[in-house]
Amino acid sequence: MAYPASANRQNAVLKPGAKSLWAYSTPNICGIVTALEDKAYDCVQEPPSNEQLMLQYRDGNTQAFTELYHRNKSSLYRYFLRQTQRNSIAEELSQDVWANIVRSRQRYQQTAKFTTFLYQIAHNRLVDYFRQSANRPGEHPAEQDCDQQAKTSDHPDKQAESLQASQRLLELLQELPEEQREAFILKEEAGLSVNEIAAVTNVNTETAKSRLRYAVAKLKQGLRGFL
Amino acid sequence: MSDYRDKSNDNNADWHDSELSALYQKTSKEEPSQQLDQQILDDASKEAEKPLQKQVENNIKPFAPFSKHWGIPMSMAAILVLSVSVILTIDRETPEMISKEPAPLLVDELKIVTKDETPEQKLSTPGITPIETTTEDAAAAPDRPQRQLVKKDRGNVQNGAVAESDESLGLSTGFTSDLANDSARETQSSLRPAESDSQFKPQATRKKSEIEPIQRERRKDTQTGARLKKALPKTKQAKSNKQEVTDASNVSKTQHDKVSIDPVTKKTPAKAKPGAPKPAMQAAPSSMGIVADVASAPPLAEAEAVQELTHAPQAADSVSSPQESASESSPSGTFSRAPSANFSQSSKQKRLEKQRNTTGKQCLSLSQADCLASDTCILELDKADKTYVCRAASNHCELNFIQALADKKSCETKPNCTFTAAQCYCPPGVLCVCGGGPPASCSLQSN
Repeated sequence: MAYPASANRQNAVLKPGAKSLWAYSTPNICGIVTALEDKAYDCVQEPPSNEQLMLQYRDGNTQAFTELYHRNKSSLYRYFLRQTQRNSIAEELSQDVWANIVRSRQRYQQTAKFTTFLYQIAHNRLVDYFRQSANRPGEHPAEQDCDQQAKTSDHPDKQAESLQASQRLLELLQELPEEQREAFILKEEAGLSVNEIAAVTNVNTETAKSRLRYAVAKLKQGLRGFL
Repeated sequence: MSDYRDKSNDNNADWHDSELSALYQKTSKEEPSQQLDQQILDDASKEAEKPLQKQVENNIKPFAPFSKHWGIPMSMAAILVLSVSVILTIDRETPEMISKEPAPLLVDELKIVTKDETPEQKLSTPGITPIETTTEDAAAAPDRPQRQLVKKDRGNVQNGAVAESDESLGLSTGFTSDLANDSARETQSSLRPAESDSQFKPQATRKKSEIEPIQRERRKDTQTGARLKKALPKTKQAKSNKQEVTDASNVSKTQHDKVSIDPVTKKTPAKAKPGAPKPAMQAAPSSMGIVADVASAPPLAEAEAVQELTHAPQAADSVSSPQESASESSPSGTFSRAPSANFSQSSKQKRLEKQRNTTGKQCLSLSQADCLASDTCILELDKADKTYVCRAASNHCELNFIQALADKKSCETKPNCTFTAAQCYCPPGVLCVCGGGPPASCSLQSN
């Protein structure tokens, strides 16, 4: 995926076959050396971290936000989708979370990982949603979304054995308790560590570990024939 | 680095299964719609285009004193202010509260209060009445009148008596001395003409033989008055009583006035025992009807100072008591000659009885402390009821004996009198080791 270049980019020479160019981000040694010695180096820059992108967006760089969004949108969306099992609700909640991040960008401080920050907001929003839906008798999160059902049932012929296993995994995931499911999704989708999961869900580390352990055990037991 | 360690630990832990993770990664392919992406990115770019200042302003929270941010400092400040104000209030109030309570009176002060009251004040203070003492009684306490003289003279019988007694009253009742001084000034102004009458009218009618010694004494008084000025502040009594010190300058004048009031009264001092201190001016009568105080026991230095002013008692036996002369003084304030030897014994006794009756009633109304400080009342333990009764003094031993002082000397100088010390007596309001016994008494020896 190509990203728009910035002033620093011209100092870095793309190696043919390089996956992407991150030269528009913060100044780097590679750029400084080339400027001083007027010498071109093969230099593949490290991609900016989520935190750096967020800081750039705070300073008004919208492209940084675009990059940040594309990195995290799918996992966040799936986080909501696995919990609510509805596309529409997952999209609505995702939009709320991103809007929240956009609004609070001035207050953003790099004290923790961006993903922790992002999923903390997501977790709070999800809790709010569950509270609201519990008060509304017509909307129950356990109800299967028609679109979701349709999506899974659209490709019955393409389902190979692995897909059957995936399908089974998703089914087993829905059978897990809410907390265990959330812990597992945070680990697999967002790639958070146990400590980060504990921070996001406001529990201690041991609780997070325990939830994960139970979730993995149940899923493995359910997928015994597939794994 | 720590993330890496966490991840590696997580991957080795029992809550991680690589196969399960791989399977999940294959499964997770859902994406949000393009429409949602566009909408979010548009919102983000619009937000980023807004001027930074405006956003900063929007993010600045208005001053909210009750917010969590200000909660702790505000509560700390409130506690500080409250505690300081409470401490200040306590500091201010405590002295006032103490001053509102009447200061505890010394025995001497109690005595002064009971002695130096004018008739008007006595009316306002029940239980304290004018008392007349006989010559015999006065003689029984030869060393006491000197103090009374000083006190009387300081205020002067006519001029300052009211003021002084007002001040002394102020000790117990809380009246200010200003009030007393005002009333004293009024009294002075009203009494001055009478005073002059009293000084000159009788003299005009007297014989030369009577006038000459008076004039001599006056001259002597004017000389000794100055000496008294010096002598008085040295006295212990003067130290204990500020009034006496401050009023010392008035003493000479008042002494002079006093001496010149009535020469007859000079004869009244009691039966002069040879060598005994003279009861100087104990008989000083007042136009206001103030009873002469013979009960007070002045210190030695004061007594010496006063002795200079005293006049040798002449024919003491034949002269009636100064109280009698005072009581017989004309209502206009002028002094007439005391009816010296004309009094019959029977009329004397009647009068004494009458006086005792009236005193007895008043004694009953006195509190224990007042009764102990009184020279005419005696506090006695009723053995049957085991209660204290304040009764009038029944004999010369009890008369002028102040139980609060428990002055053995003054008791035993009186003929046929025996002093009995208090036996486990505890005055009211005082913490004692024991109580319920009889107070000090001066009783007549029974043969």
